Amino acid sequence: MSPSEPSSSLSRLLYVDDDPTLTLLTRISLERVGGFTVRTCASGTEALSVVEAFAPDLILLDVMMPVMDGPATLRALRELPSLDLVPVVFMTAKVQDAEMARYRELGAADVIGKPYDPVKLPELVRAIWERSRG
Amino acid sequence: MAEPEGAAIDVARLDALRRLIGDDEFRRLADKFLADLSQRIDTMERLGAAGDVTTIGREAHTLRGTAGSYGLQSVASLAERLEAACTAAPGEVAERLRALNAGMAASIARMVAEFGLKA
Repeated sequence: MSPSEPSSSLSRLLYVDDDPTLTLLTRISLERVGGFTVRTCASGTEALSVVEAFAPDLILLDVMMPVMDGPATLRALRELPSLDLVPVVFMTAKVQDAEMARYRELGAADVIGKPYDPVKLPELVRAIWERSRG
Repeated sequence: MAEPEGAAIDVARLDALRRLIGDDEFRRLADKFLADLSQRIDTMERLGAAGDVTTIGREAHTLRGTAGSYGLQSVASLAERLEAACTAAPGEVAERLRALNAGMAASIARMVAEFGLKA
């Protein structure tokens, strides 16, 4: 498979959020309930340093993070040739229409609103993945 | 017995999660969450005493998403009101901060009682 070719299955997720308590819940949800392989990062900078080696099928990105927020991280990710086709999903408590439109303009595959149900999150991520391939 | 104000939690969601991940993992997760919540009460009290409305707003925003995802509906709602006050009604911040901290304390007690956790 060439580096920029999208994966044919969803198994590896990169989750980026600066809140360790929510990260713990999300990781358990995605790993134990969803059966995914999950790499977590506490910042956009950390995500950029590991993303190519981890080679995720999909990236979940918190919007409001210090230093490098979600949109800035997404822009930096899109500069990496091996990542240009990997779907990026924003996760945010700000889900008003204007903000949703802005996130999509930035190139997000979709937006998951916070709070979210950890029991249903894996199913939601799979549905977004399927849509992003359509 | 009447539920304490601010202590509404989504027991069904937490119980569904407990069944899926097992008792041991659930207990570890819940213990860490409750410890974090206690620390957030201290942080909010300190920020309130310092009058740092900007940081209070940011903390409230984070807490809204985190507490709500853990099923603490009242805390998420109280945090949302505090976050809104930080930008639109700074004069109400102190009162809403007290309500949030009381809600967090009540929710901790409710989770401990509901799931047999450590206080």
